[in-house]
Amino acid sequence: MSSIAEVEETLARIQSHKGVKGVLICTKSGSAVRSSLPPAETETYAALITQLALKAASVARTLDPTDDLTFLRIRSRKHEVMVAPDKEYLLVVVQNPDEGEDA
Amino acid sequence: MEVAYLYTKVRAEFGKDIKFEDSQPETLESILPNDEFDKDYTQRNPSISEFDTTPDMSVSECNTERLVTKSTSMRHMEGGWPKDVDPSEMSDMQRFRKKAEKDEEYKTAMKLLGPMIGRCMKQNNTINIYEEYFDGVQADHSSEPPSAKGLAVFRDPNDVKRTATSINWHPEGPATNGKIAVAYSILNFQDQRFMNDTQMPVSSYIWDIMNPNTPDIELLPPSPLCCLRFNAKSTDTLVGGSYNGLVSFYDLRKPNAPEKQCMPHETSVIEKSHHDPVYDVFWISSKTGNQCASVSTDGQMMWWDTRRLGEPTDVLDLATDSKGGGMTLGGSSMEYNQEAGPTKYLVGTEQGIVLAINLRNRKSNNGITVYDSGPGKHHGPIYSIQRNPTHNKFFMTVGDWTARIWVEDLKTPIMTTKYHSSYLTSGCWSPTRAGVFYVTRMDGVVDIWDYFYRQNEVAYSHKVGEDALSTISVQGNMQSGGRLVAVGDVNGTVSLLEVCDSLASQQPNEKMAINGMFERETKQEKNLELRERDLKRQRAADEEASKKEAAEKKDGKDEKMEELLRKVDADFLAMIKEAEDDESKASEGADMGGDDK
Repeated sequence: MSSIAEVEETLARIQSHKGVKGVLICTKSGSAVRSSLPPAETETYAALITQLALKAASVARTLDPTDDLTFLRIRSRKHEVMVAPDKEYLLVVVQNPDEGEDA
Repeated sequence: MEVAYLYTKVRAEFGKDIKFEDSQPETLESILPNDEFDKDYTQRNPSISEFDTTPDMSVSECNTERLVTKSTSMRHMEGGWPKDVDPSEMSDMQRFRKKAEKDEEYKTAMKLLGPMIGRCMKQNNTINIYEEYFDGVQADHSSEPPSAKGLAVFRDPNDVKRTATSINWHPEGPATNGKIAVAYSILNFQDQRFMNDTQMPVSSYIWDIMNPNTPDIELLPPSPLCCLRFNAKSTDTLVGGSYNGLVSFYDLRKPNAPEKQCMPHETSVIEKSHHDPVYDVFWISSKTGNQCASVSTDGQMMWWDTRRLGEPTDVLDLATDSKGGGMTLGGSSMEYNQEAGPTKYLVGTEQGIVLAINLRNRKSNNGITVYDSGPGKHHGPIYSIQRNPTHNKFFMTVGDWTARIWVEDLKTPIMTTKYHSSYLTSGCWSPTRAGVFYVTRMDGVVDIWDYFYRQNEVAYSHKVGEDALSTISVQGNMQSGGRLVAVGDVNGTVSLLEVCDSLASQQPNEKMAINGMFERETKQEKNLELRERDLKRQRAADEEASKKEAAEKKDGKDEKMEELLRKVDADFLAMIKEAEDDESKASEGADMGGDDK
């Protein structure tokens, strides 16, 4: 029912937002599927963010077994990393909010 | 009544072995009951006796040995690929990705997640949810009572306990690089710890303030370091001054050195170095950022280029001018502040006299200005000297029992603290607050003075430990910091303290008020000096006048005498006249034609 085109469209829409530094899709085990980041960064982001997201999900589930993690935002001095987890895949967007603000 | 038994033995049997044998009881004396004593008898009531069956106990305490821990971590770099995918093989990865993108679940997930992310991004772009609403608002902490708390303790890992002689903070703030370089050495002459056969440990350490268990980097100088400073321009390099007078340069980026150790990159040669411990060394402003200046109690100040430490680029003798007797003074502390002038130095000496050095006018006594060597000087070595970070014209010296504040263009101190109850060993200004300074004492106390609050008493005293403190350093620059204070003691323990906001953050109007106070004191001191000069001139004039008078003594005396005689004459005549008048009145009735005239 949903086609590759729809995925592409979603990604394109995300990237059209202000201040987006990169979009990354990876599996829960940490292997990058799609990325607009340079290869080295892709690998580190995929490896580190998946681990953190899994940990966060585990925290949410431990606190309340009926609960689950739906979104994770990491705000750092330079940018914000937004993580949307699903059963098998993670959508990670790195955005520079200040840049968007300035524009 | 006496019971006595006479015992007889012949002389010949003296000293013979004694032989005891059983015998029948024999009555020697028999005392009959006596009723007379009966009335003296009283029964004791109540009768108390105590018994105790508790076992003996004692309490003793001991500490377990200190456990040295270290933190390690792993970093996952290649991503979690399935078993059959080799992450180093590009084609494998490509194939995996292709497969994943065809996955139905992937597509639905993306469709679901896209709007979620989009919402957040739009939110970020619309409004800054982390906006600082109260930015620039200065909180008034003046009502808060001053306080400080200990954060961490860094102990010299060596068995031989040495004094922490200098602490220098990493020029970048604690947020990115909270590190302190601590120099350890024993400055006592012929100390017991030198005398025994065990070699004095030479190493000094750089500590990470987050890890008090093990030092971050160990520096291995040829002789123990007395002072150590980071280069503010290139923060991976340090310069240190040793106990034997050497100056050494360290580069922490040196690749072939063993981990966590650093040998000097370059060291001066002993023939062309100081002959006494180097008490302070400063990086000075230069184009290359490789120049530094050192001072020692041998009475020399030397300038170095850290790329060629073979010989000093310049040497200056710390001597007073001919008026001061041409005496050589041993430098025990130094201050260099680029903002006050790139050619200006201040040196505190062992003799308690302050020297200001300006290389620009080397013609007059090598550019050395000698401050007061009379009542204004310290009674012992000046251990610390520092310019006020906000008002560079004013500086502080710490020595004997006082801290004194001076102004560059006056020879006498403008302000002096009261005498502390214990010797002061070092001191420094707060980098953020113009009116706050710290002094360390020999009884293990840090005294914090707040001139903005009061000048006659210490604002806050913090007891660090029983041992004498030796050095102090406050983290930060004029813009930020001022909260973290590192204090070293004679046993090589560095304590990290955090002071409260009221002692760290700039108070409203403080800069102006402190400047006003210093200027006022300067004016007073100037007026006093002027008055003294006037008095001196007056005295000289008086002396001259009296001399002149002495020369004209004779005429002066005659004149006086004449005047006196005139006065006596006049008095005499008046008296006669009065007497005559009385007489004439009395004789008027009897003899009309009396001798009226």
